[in-house]
Amino acid sequence: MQPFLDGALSADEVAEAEKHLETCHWCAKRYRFEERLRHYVRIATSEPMSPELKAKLAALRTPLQALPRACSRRHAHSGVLRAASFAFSSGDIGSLTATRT
Amino acid sequence: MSESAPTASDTRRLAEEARARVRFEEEALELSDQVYRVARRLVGTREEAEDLVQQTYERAFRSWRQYTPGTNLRAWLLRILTNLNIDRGRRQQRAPQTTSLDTEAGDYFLYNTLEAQGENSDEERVLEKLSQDSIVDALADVPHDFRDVLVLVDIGDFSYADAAQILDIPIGTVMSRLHRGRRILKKNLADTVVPG
Repeated sequence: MQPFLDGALSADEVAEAEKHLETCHWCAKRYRFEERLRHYVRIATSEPMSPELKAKLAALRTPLQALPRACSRRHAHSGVLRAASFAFSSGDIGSLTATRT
Repeated sequence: MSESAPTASDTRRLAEEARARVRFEEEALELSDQVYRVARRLVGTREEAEDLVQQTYERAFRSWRQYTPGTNLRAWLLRILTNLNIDRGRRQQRAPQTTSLDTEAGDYFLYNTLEAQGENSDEERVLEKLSQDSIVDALADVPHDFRDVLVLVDIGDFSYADAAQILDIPIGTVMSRLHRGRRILKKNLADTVVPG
């Protein structure tokens, strides 16, 4: 059951397991329990990162002035670099994604 | 123009590298929430987790050239993190290295314990008896060799193969530690429901 829950079985094995779970009440109950438990553990132990740490990590990036000048001046991508830098320094990953797409 | 040609290609190469570097840093930072979530459960305190994640990113940004683009960056970062965690002497952490068999029970021990406690045997209801704190504590009390694998696979959502690579252990060891780790976790959880 564990490899089944971990998605580590082959397609044939998955089909066989699913077929078994359809007919075996004993296993099906325990399967649902294990699945829910895993979900519970994941939710219960999830603790978001502090904004302070996020800012510290963003500050570790190579400063733009340390990059070769050609990178920010001559190339069309420079806009992307600057936008990326700005988005990170404001700590907003979401806006970075938006800027890039 | 003949003299400036190599310079131009040098410039291009440097610009290319700078772009690759910025891209790497962007991608690594986008994964920081996920990296932190795993780190937080590998160590005992929030402060330790924050230090560890910061050191991981410092090292990753220093050695970014060692990363092969297109491979699993999250696993690469976690590999650095777990190595740093071992380096900093996690042996002092609260969970003992070894566990005796009496801290383990069968795969369905928790299920059976919870089921035996209640009049209804609905799977979801049965789980409601577990508080968030009791789950956090039960996981923290799993000895670290087992907990590392448990955290990577169950919380980090890494495959057996990724976990094996991150921890530098054979895949069979990942599977056996995972199996035992889950049993220990469930025994710990059952103990919180049935005191004594």
